[in-house]
Amino acid sequence: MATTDIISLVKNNLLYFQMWTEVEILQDDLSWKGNSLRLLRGRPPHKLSNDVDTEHENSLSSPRPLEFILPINMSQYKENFLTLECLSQTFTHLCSPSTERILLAIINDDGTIVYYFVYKGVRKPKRN
Amino acid sequence: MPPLVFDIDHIKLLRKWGICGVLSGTLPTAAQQNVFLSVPLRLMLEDVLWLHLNNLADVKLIRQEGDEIMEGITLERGAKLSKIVNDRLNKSFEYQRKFKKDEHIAKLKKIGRINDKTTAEELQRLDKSSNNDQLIESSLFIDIANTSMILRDIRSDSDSLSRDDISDLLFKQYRQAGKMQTYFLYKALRDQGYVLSPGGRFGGKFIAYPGDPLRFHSHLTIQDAIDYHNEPIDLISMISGARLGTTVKKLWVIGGVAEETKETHFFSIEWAGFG
Repeated sequence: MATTDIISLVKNNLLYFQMWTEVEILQDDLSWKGNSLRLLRGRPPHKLSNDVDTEHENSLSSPRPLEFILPINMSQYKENFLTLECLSQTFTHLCSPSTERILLAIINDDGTIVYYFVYKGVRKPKRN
Repeated sequence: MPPLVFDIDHIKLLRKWGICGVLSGTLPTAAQQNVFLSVPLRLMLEDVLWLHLNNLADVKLIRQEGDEIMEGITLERGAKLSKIVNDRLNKSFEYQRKFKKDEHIAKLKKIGRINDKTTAEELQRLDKSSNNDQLIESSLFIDIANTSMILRDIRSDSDSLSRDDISDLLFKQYRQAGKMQTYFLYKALRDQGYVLSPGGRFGGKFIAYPGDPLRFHSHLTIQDAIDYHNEPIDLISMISGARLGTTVKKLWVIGGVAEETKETHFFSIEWAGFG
């Protein structure tokens, strides 16, 4: 599966299944070990369950922050290229300097997608 | 054999330095007490490395395996050790018997059943009628030494080893396992103020508390270091670890060391809550 296909797959999944808005494919790309990495950016429909609950976030009218999404194929039967250095380069070259996390969209062999947040560094504990 | 600490004051000092370890001592002959473990305190190898490299511990290496140590005890020496233990125990029992008899007499005088004029024959009759001797025998306390006479005799190799030799030996276990960089993750997290414990219960190498484990929840599961440049992230391990982390409220943390800058890099991963 080529990278352009998984990008479209993730975009459609976010728009029509996860009900995100403003999902767009960013133009910057990062060449990495024969692969071309590109990010998507979009706005989630509601506060994500992992986010801290603050007074500011409670307001319905406040806009959700935009999230960066990195599609990746799981490739259970062949080695993938995602290394720690690759993640560092993604944060450095494809995101804005203030980005603390990217959303990893992992495409399974059957076409389903699971989403995991990758935070840069060691994240602070949340209040329970 | 894992590193062990036997001295209570040392355990207290270690806790002040943010090393909590795991109490692993128990009484095989009193199994009902196993739920409350005591000294010795078992440390992780990374704890010992950190203490040694910071000049905070006197590391003694015992090269023999436990079985080898036990096999090396000759019959004569075993008999001698056994006699020492029995003599010590008998002395302790004798002291306890005398102490309890004296306490008993003082109590009888206090409540007025006997006085200074009571004869020895009357005392014996009182003891017999109240089964005092049997009660004393059943209440004798067995005092178990908290140091090992056997290990004390083992000649320590560290007397002739330099500090660098000990560092090499400690790092050698990493080299064999191919996980050389994990210690640097440990050190980086300690420098950030985290207290680290073994993480086997949560599928990781360490769990990290942001302070005293008695006051904080450990919200990080740290994996073994992976090669920063070349080792791909195992996505299936990442997914299963982060899923487990969701239920136990822990982030799945991976880290590595960049070769040229020696800088440690961490990434924290958790399930997004959808998809």
